[in-house]
Amino acid sequence: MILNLKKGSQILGKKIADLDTGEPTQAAQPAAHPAALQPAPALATSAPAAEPEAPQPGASAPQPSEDWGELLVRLLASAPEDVAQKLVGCLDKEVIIKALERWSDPHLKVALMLITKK
Amino acid sequence: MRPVIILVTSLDGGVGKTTLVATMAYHAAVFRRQPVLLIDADWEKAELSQLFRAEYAPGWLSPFLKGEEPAVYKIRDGLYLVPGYDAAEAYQLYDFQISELERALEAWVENLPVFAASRGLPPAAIIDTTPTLRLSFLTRLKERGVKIIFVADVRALGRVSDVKAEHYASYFKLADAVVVNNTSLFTRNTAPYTIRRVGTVKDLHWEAVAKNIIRNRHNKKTIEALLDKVYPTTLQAGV
Repeated sequence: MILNLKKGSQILGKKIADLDTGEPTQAAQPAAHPAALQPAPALATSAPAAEPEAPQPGASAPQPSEDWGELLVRLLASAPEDVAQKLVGCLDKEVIIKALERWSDPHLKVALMLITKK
Repeated sequence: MRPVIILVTSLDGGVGKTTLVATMAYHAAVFRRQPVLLIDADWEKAELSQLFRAEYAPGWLSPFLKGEEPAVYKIRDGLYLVPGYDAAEAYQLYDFQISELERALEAWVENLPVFAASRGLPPAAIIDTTPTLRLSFLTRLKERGVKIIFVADVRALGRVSDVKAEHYASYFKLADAVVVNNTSLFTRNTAPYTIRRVGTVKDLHWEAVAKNIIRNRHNKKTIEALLDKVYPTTLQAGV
């Protein structure tokens, strides 16, 4: 047996919480840096993928994925619907809009325009 | 939401699986705004990775081979690729049992929902594969909800032998859709989904190849119908 199926499945099945402990996962921030990806399909480089085995909680430098807006959006998107609804209910609408405004996505921009339309 | 997983396979090599995958991905992402994650699981050649000009990086087999997180390339908005270079390299270097590779791919299918959700990737994947995957393996994938597209060319229409005909019949039976590639005008209505022969493009880059194929109106209709069948817009989910 050459392949370690258990280990492989563990890596693929890792959830957001595990990934945020230190692995700058390649696809976690695709929409945040679209310009850098256009000339060559290079979302991922071998560099970040070279050290997934050794997450060092607490020792990592701030990553783009640690942006508060992104973290908030990902938290809300990944939480169970009832929990997410409660959280959204607790948060000031402006805070959520500010978090969303940090993404330069044209669809999101139009959606925000509609939401904030008076 | 249950993820959409589409596996493209064939009995013979060189029938156009990789080209079909690239064309479906292009049409889904560009015209239908349906995000797609491509997985190059052709462990013999990894041609999808080459067609997309992906750099060498840990691919779909790396979690099982080296315990590494696989790289994911963003090709364009709504289109991502997990390369297959290391699998093709390992296939040449090691004495694999086919069942190992099959089980690794099954693990992908099983873990894909969590993998995609955790990494902000589309909940829909198209897997390019190697020819002649075993029927038992395809049956297991089908039981897991994988949609199977079987690609053939005109060789499937000419009856080479009874054994070959039986082989084809078994794969046809298992497939959710059968695509006959490279048909001429003469054979255009031989299967529900046919791709007509088109001229070769100079630049063998995925986008140029895909555009060249769907420039033909019949082919565009075929791809549209095929996507309607395996990845209807009602199942669409944003990233």
